[in-house]
Amino acid sequence: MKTVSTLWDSPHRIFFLLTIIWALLSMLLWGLTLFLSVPFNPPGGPLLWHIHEFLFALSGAAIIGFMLTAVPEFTSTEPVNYVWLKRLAGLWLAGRVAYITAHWLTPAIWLAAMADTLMLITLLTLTTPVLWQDLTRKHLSLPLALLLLLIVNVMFYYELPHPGRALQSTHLLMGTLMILLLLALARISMSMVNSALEEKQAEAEPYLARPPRRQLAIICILLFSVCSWYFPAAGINAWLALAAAAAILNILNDWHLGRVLLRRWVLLPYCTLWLMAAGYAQLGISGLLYGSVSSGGQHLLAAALMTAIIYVVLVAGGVHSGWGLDERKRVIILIATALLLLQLRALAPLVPAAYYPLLAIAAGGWMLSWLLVLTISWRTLWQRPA
Amino acid sequence: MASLVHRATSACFNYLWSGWGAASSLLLFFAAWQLAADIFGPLVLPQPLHAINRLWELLHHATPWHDIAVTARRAISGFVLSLLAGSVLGIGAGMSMTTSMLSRPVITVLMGIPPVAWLILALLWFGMGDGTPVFTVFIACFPIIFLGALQGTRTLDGQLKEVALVFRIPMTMRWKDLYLPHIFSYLFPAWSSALGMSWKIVVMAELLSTDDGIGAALAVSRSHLDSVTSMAWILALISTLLAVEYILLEPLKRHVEAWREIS
Repeated sequence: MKTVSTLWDSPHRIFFLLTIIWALLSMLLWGLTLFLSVPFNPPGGPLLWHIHEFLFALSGAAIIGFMLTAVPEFTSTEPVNYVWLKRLAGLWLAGRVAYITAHWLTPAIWLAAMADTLMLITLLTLTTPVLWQDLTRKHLSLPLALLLLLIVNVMFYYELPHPGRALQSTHLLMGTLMILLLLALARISMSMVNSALEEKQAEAEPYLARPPRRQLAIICILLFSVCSWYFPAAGINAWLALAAAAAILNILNDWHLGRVLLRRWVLLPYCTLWLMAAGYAQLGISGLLYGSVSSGGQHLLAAALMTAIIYVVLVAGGVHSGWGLDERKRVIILIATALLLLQLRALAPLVPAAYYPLLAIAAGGWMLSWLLVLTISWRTLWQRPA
Repeated sequence: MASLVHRATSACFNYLWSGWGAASSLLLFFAAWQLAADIFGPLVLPQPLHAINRLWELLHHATPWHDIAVTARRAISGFVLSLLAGSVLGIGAGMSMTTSMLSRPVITVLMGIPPVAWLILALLWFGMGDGTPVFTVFIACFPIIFLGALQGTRTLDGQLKEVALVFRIPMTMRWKDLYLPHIFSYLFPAWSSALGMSWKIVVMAELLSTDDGIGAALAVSRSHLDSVTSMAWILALISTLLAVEYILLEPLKRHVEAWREIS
């Protein structure tokens, strides 16, 4: 039965749907500005809007959906009331509308800042006490990372009158999201990879997402993000980026468990880690060779983030809605193809002659990926299984 | 056979891949080096990339390879001699309480003598040539390995030894399956420390006593105030040390200590 109330019965439904819709709408608006020169100039300029809304807003909705679905499961507690879902969704929406409105009405940007800040404070208030009361306290890294996201986002709005400095703060934003990605991926992969291993061979060595490896990667990412924000031109950034890439490749040691890697719901997060490592490696190499941070590397990290969000939407969306995982082969093939097209964005700076055509193809890959996700998730997010 | 090859390839791949953690740690070290270079300037400390580039340039000539080979030969000779003598004598001394008591003060004295003092003596005894660095490495590493072997042998489980004797387990089996695995857990850290030390000492000895090898090349670059070349040579030295440690010692250690994971 397709009713509006279904959408509010579980956090992942509404927030994953908002994630998908915003992925499509924000790319549409950015595409209009970039390719058709449609006037759009919010405070700080359209580029900062593009970065913030693709990173913070898109991930923000997915993070709320993930946290409010996962925390009750981790702690065996009751999920939050739908009233809170409506408040959070309202704040998220207010932030997006206010940022766009600031194109015409500049002070609206402060409304966007307030809405985003309140949204994260609400999320922290809803999740931290529950995770704190849990005896093991092994998930406290999640609210800590959220707190960092809150601080970084406030900094972004504070620096917005100085676009150069605001652009630097987006490095911190990206780093924080990468840390959140590692934390979330470790938790999801423990379940997904071990399920795949059990299906394949009962006596296989179990998969463990080992914390020391993850913590080393988090330390490297944090160091790189802080240094590239505070000393944007320093040579140290290149080495830190390479250290982060190596630390992420080190995490892959946990994943090398044989042919189970080829299972679709295992391969996707594995590729996400590869994309992250490639992104940091490119940032490091370009820093060493040219002394500057490449946008190609940043886009590879963004692609890793997007792959992870799609994975979370498809896996958590399917499982928690009661529909289970979509095992149709064409699903993963189509998404993988679209994601490959998206990688052209990272290559674009290397081919100046075909820069805009490559951007257009990458944007098409983005739209195609999310349209596919929307098609697949439509039923799982809007309907309850019979 | 195919399965064996597959397992060997897989183990090799996993071992190499596990090096990413060490790579990350080393890259963090390079970042700290870069920060120090930015603070103190290129004359005091050149940037890591400049040192790597210089090393790359140096390696395109035949002389550096010769110098690296000479240093490696001296370091490995001294290390292998101390490894053999230290391990055998240390295990021998550890077999009896009396020899342990006798040897400990002597080892303390040997450990207390700084390598540079041995170097001066070696220069008098062996003159300029291979003998001086090889002897200095040997005499500086010997007490470390001896002490590791002694400690490993002294801490063998007495009850386990008695049980082995009561059940008349053959001596070769006792040593292979009971004593040596335990002793190795003390010996390997000692070997590893001694190996690291051997490279440091051989360079110091070469710097003062020979006209070839990495130490001698460092002396030349120092006299030219060429800090980039000096760092390039230091990088060459550390790379060789890392290669020996991770290609030779670490796989051996994992193989010998595999019983710990199983137990």
